[in-house]
Amino acid sequence: MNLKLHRGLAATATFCLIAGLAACADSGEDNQDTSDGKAAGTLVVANYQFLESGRGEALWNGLLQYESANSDAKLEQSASPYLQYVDKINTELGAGAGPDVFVIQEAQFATLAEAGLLATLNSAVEGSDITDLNSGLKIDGNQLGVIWEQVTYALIANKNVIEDAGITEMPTTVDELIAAALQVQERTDASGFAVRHLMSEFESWWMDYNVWPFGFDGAWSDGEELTIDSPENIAGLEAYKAVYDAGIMPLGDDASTYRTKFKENQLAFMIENNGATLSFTSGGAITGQDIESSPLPFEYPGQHQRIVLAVNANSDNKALALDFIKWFVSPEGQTAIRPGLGASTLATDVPLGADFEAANPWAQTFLDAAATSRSNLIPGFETETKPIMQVIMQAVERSITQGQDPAAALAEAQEQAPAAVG
Amino acid sequence: MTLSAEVTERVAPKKRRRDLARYLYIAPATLYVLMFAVVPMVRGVWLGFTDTKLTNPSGGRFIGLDNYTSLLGSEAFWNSIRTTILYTLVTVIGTLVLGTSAALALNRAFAGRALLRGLLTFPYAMPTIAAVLVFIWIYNPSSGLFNRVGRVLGIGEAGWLTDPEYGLASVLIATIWKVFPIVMLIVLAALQSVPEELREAARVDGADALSSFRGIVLPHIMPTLRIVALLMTIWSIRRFEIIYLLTGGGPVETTNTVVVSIYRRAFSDLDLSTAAALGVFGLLLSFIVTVAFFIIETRETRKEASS
Repeated sequence: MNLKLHRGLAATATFCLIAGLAACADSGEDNQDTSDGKAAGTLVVANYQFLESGRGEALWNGLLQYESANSDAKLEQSASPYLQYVDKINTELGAGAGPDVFVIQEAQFATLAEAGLLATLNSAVEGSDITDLNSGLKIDGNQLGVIWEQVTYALIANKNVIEDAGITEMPTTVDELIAAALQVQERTDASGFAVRHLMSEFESWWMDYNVWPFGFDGAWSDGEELTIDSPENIAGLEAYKAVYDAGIMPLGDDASTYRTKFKENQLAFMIENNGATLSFTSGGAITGQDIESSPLPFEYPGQHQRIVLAVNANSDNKALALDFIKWFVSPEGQTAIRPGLGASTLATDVPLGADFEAANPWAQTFLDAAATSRSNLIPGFETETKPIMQVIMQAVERSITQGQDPAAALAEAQEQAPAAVG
Repeated sequence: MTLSAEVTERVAPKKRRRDLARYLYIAPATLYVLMFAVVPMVRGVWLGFTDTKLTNPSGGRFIGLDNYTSLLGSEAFWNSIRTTILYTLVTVIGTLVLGTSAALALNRAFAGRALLRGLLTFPYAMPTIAAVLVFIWIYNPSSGLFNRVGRVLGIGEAGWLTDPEYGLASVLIATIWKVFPIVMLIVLAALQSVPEELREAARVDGADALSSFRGIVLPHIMPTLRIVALLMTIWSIRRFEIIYLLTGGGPVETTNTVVVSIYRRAFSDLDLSTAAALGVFGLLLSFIVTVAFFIIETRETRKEASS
C-alpha cells in the first residue's frame, strides 16, 4: 500500500512538473517578438460594447483590421454586459490578472490609474495625432489611456411620433419639453418623454443625470469642496422633478424598455447619448432618418461620457498591447473604428463618413455638443466620484419618489457625502 | 508471548490502516471546506480590520476596529440590518405558510394533482433573472398587470418598484413566489411519513380537518418545518440577486439589505474592507439564528425523549 502511495505521489509530482513546464512554454509562446522585431501573439481585448447588437460587430470588425497591419498578432474578444463588466475589470485587475487591453469609463479610469494598474502608453502615442482631449488621461506626465470614444448628450425625438402629434419644432426649454410631451400623449398612444429614474440602474443613471444640474451651470464641487446643495444644482433637480411629476414619463420603465419603445414608435422624446442613439437605427421600426435631434433644453451645456482605452499594467503581452495602441491612434486605426463609433468624438479628429452623415442627420448635434460638454468626474474628487454620486442619487430619489424638497434633499446629501468618501 | 498479546499485535496494524482509510475518505471533503469556506471566511474577517481596496486587494493596512466603529455609527448600516431582519421574517413566514398550505392541498388525491404539483414547482425551477424580468413587467406602472387590475377594479395604481411605500412589499412578493415551492416539496415529502391509520382513526373519532392537522400532522412534520425555517432564514439573510435586480436597494434604500450593502461597498465604492466588516455582521446574524435553532432543537428532542 505504501509503495502504491509513493508511486502515486511520484506520478502526481511528475505530472505537475510537466504541466508547469508546459504552461511556462505556452506563456512564452504567447508573447514573443518576430524576427523583424514586431510584437506578436494573442491579445485579449475587453469591451462591453461588443455585445451591443449591430454596433458590437462593427466595432470588432474595425479592430480586427489590426491583424492585417500586424500579421503576427491575433485578437481575442472578451465581453460581458456593462453591469458585470465594471466589477469584472476591477476585480481581475486588482488581482493582477485580466485582459491585455480594455475600455473603461472615465471614473473607473481614475480609480485604476490611482491604484497603479494601468500601463504607460507614452511610446505608443508619441508622434500620433491624438487631440488635447486625451491630455485629461495623462497623469504625472504619463499617458495612461487614450480616448476610445467620448459620447455627448442631446434631446432626440422620434419624427414619426411627433409628426403624428402635430409637433413641428423641437423644444428648447424644460417647459416646452413638458408641453410637447403632453401634446404627444393627448394626440397619440405614445409616451411623451423618458430618462433613467430607477436606482436599479444606478451605474448608468448617475452619468445620465448630470445633464440636469450642468444645464443650470451646476457642479458637484468647486475643485476643493463639495458644492452638492448649490442653487444651480437645486435648480437642476427642480427641473428633473418637474418632468418626473408632469405625467409625461413611463415611470418604472428601465432604459432598455423605453429605448425599445422609442425604436418601435411608442415614445416621442428622450435625452440620450449618441452611442445609444446610433443603436436605435438598426433592429427596430426606425432608421437614422426618423430621428430628430436638438441641443439639450437648458441654457448651459451638458456632460460627456469619456470612454477610455487602456492597457493592463500586469499584462504579459505589454509590447503587443502597445503596438496595438500605436495602430489604434494611427489614421488607419481611427478610420477603421469610426463606423462602429458613429457620432462620437474619437482620440484623433476623424471626420464622419459622407454615407454615415447622410444616413444619420441627427449626428451633427452630438458632435457640436462635444465642443462645450463637461466631464462626469467631480473635480478634486475624481476617484471618489461614484460613492459621492451614490449619495446624490439617493437624494434625487427621495425628492422624486417621496416629494422631499430638492433643496432639503441636496442639503442632506451635502452632509452625508463626506462620510461616504471616508 | 501470550495469546492475547499476539492477537493485539496482529490486530493493531489492521486498526491503524482502518483509521488511516477513514481519514483519507474525509480528507477531500475537509480540504474542500478548508479551501473554499474556512480560508475565505478567515480572510474575510481579517479584511474587516484593514483598509483594503478592491483595486489593491493585498495592499491593505491593519486599522483595528475602525471599519466596525464607523459602521455601527452609521444610520445606513442600521437601516440595512432592520431591512434584512424584516425581509427575512416576512419571507420565512410567507414561504412556510404558503409552502405548507400548498403541500397539504397537494397531498390529497384528486384529478390533475401531478400536473398541479409540476406547475407549482415551476417558480423555483425558473432562473432568477427570468423571474425578475417577469416581475418587472408585472410591476410596470403604466403597462404592468398589477396596475391594470387595479385600474379595472377601481382601486388605483401604485409605483411598485418606484414608491418607497411599496418597494419592500414588491420584492417580498417576488421572493415568496420564487421560493415557496422548495418549502412545498420538502413538506410534501415529510407528509408521506404521517401514518395514514392515525388520520383514519381521527376521522373515525369525528375530528375535523383542523384538529386532525394540529393533533396528528403538525407534530409529525414539525422537525422538518424547523429545519426548513432555519434554511429559509439563512438563505433569506444571504439573498442578493432577486433584490438587487428588482430595485438595486431602492427606492430610497427601502430594500437595501446587508448583502446589497456589501455589494455596493465592495464593487461600487471599491471598499473591500468595509464590505468585509459588513459581511461579518451578516455572518453574525446567520450564526445567531443557527444557535437559536440548535437550542430549540435540543429542547424539543429532550422533551420528546422524556415523554
